[in-house]
Amino acid sequence: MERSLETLLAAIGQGDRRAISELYRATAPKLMGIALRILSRRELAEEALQETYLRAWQKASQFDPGRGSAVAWLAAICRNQAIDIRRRQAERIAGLSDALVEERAEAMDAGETLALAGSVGALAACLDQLPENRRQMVVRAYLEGLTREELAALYRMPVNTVKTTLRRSLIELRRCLDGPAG
Amino acid sequence: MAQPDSPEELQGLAGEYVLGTLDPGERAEAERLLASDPDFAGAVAAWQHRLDPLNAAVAPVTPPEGLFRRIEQRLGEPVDSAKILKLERHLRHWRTATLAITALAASLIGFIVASPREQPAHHFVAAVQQGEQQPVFLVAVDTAKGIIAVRPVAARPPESGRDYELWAVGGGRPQPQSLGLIALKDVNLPAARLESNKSASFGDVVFAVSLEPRGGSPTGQPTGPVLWTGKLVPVD
Repeated sequence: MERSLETLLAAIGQGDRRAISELYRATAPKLMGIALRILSRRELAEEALQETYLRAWQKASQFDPGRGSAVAWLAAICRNQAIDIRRRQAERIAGLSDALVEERAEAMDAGETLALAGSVGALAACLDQLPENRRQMVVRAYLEGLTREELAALYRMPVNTVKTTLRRSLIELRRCLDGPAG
Repeated sequence: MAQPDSPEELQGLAGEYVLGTLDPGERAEAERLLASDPDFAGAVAAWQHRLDPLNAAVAPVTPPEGLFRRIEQRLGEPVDSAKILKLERHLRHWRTATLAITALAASLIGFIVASPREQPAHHFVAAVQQGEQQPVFLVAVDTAKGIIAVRPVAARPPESGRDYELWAVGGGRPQPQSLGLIALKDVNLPAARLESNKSASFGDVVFAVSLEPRGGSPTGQPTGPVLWTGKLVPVD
């Protein structure tokens, strides 16, 4: 019988190697997609995946099914790894001029990213209530791992304005998703 | 410990942490809070839950054959070995970087050239950085002149209302010792603050830079996240 991902994580917490192999088979393509969108380069996405499953192996016993699904837990670890790797890469090419930052950010397939955000239920409905630019900034930061500097170059606003704009958008999203009491 | 000032700030920091848009200093602070503040950890979990539907929209991509084998080979490592390997990598990188930086520091600071060979080393330098990233500050100590020269290399201004504070750690100190505030300009601090002018003990000193409230730590110990560190090495 096929085991649920939550059951697999419980087994991994006990050191079950077969379980981590099953977990990998069931979830790696999803995580590869997430990491690749943030990192653009396959070898970096593979590095993110390695780190993600090693953490899953080490921290499986900390997974709390009451707080969300196993896939969401893995996706959060994977995004964190991918973002850390992307920031380290950015540091390596520090001193990049603004024009290059902009070029790099524009080279990404924004249209495709934004189309993805159209089909995600309540979140999509709440995102749709944001002004177009602000919706794009949230979605692209999340899915492509763009920095405030990259968003500033793309949407032609000062970096500090990016910060206040993102935070305003987050406040409105939270109110829309959780209700006024949230 | 520095905590977000208001519920809005806590939500903003947690939300932007999940989005991935915090700058390195803020991200380090968020990670520290995540480990120490249950309210913040709860806010991060809630943001992960709210935004996770976006992941559902991403198309799967088949990873290459053999990737799992590479992961499996590393499973046998003791639990914290991933971290240790990373530290060792950092250390190797740091050694290489320090060699390059020493030359750079010499040319930047300019007081190393005339050092008489027969004297015990009076000059020390530290490249203060985070992990494998490039140095953020160079710190050079000249015991003869009695100064600690701090030169910004790739530092960015601290967020508003905050200051960077330089600390000496180790070298026989029971706890970190404040050497003073540093800024995005050349700053010379009195070397007397390093307590002892005995060169021998300098080998064990690590400099650390923390993010503090404007004017420096109110407690005399680091209260904000430690952003960058660098070991002091003698320069001949």
